[in-house]
Amino acid sequence: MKKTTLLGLLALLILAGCGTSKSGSAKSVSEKAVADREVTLLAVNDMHATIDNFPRFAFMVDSLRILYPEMLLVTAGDNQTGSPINDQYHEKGLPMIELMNAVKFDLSAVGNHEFDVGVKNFETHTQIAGFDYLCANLKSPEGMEFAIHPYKIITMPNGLKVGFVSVLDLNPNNQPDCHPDNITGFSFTNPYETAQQYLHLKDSADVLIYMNHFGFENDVKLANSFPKGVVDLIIGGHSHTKVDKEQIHNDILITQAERRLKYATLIHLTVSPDGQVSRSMQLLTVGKTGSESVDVRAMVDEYNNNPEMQEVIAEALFDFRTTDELGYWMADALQATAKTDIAVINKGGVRVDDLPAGGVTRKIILTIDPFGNQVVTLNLTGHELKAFVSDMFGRDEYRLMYPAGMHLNYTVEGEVDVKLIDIEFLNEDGTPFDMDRTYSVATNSYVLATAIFDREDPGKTLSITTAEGWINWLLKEKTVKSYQEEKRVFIGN
Amino acid sequence: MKVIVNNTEIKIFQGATVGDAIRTYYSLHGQRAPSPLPEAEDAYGNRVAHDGALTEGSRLSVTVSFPD
Repeated sequence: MKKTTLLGLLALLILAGCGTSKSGSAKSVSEKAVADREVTLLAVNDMHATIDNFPRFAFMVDSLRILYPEMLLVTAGDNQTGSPINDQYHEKGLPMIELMNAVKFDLSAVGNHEFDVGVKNFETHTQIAGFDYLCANLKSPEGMEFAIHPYKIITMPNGLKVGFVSVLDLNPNNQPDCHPDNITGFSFTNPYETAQQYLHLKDSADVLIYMNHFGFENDVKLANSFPKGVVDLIIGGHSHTKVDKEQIHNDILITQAERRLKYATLIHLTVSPDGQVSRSMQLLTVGKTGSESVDVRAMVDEYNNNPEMQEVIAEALFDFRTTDELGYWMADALQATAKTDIAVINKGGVRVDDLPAGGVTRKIILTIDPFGNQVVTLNLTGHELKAFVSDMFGRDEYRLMYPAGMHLNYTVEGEVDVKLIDIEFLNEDGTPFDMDRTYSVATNSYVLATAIFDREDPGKTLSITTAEGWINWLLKEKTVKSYQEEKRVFIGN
Repeated sequence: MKVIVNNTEIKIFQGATVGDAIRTYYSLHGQRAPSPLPEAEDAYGNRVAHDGALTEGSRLSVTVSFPD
């Protein structure tokens, strides 16, 4: 560790200019103060298991704590999901919790990806975390012992009472965007309405902060719905917004630090004896390079050397000789993950040409499918499905789709400038499709975002990557059949 | 859900990201999205990452140049 760089960082932080704003007439509830009192926060959000940035981040936190010994370290949620090392750890997501404990986080909002580790693991995380989880608009499953609180009031050594509340974004189904299996037993309430119910905390706190996983634009709407002079600050997450200048809406400062520990927001709140709250924020760059915490580096290196990535999770009994064979295998994995009638993937989604028989590791799957695309599902009639696959023929550079649960018979014209004439849809036994029937269909988020076709159902993500679903499927299957005789796509003139 | 990209309304799947919306925008204009995708800003002039979550009615600005 370069000690000299620490002094440089501290000097920069001291010299760096910060904008300052004042919020409305806050009422001081602490013992009557005769001088200004300050609380400093370092806020991050959407860390998404970026463990490789933690040594650098830990160094920055240590440095700032020299300047601000009582600094609160908080995150607006989505600590989990985004790194195979963390996500595929035998105790899923545990590395992030251990790293957050090591740098001594004080609070975390619950983001939609906190649920990705599974109900039982998430319960354990809330119990072993050295920080408090906050979420006001969820109710934990009956009979379980989740340590999640709607709010928390922290009394600083200078007597300042700092109140925190948190709300989580919900989709139109009144659920966070995550796999439905991972929220079994939870119930959720409207975040806007719930947020209003905690404004009374300003009667018990000098400063009231909402630390939401709600998205920047929703945070603006929420700020505009609050009465003036009650809420001083919203620390946000979810939309991965880089707020590098003061955003004040209805007299409330709103911050967000993009994602993956690229940045962190340093926030100072100063409460004057008459209860006025002054605020300033500065977006600091964390990044990957620079001085690091030696202790945290050692932890991260140990996680990265985890032999689980090289562990054989299934045995391929035969060689995969072509991209087509791998594509059919990938489509089968997608269909099994989504439990749909049909799955289709784009040929460009398969990044390996062949694979010898033998052990299949997580690393191999992540090499074949490295994009991090999400599993998406939708219900389509046969006619809508035909419009979908036909549109992709004209868009994807490889043109054809790999199906599971059906066969495709393409009729094309031309050899260089190939034009699609028709696609016949067949059941796996070769019988014609019922084009008027509605089928459940799985594909990946890249394909569904790229295809333009009329449909009733816009679709939804299952909040799991195609690679993760594939790995989970292999962990159950253990062996991989031969795909050498598979023929699901036919091309004729 | 519906989001707005460069004043064009886009209907996109629930849980889509900023990058998904940009890809759909390009497809709607008959174009293949470039790699890397262009940067995007929200309605308040903040830069948003491509893997950022969208919510109903999100507004994005993307600088694009389509071939003639």
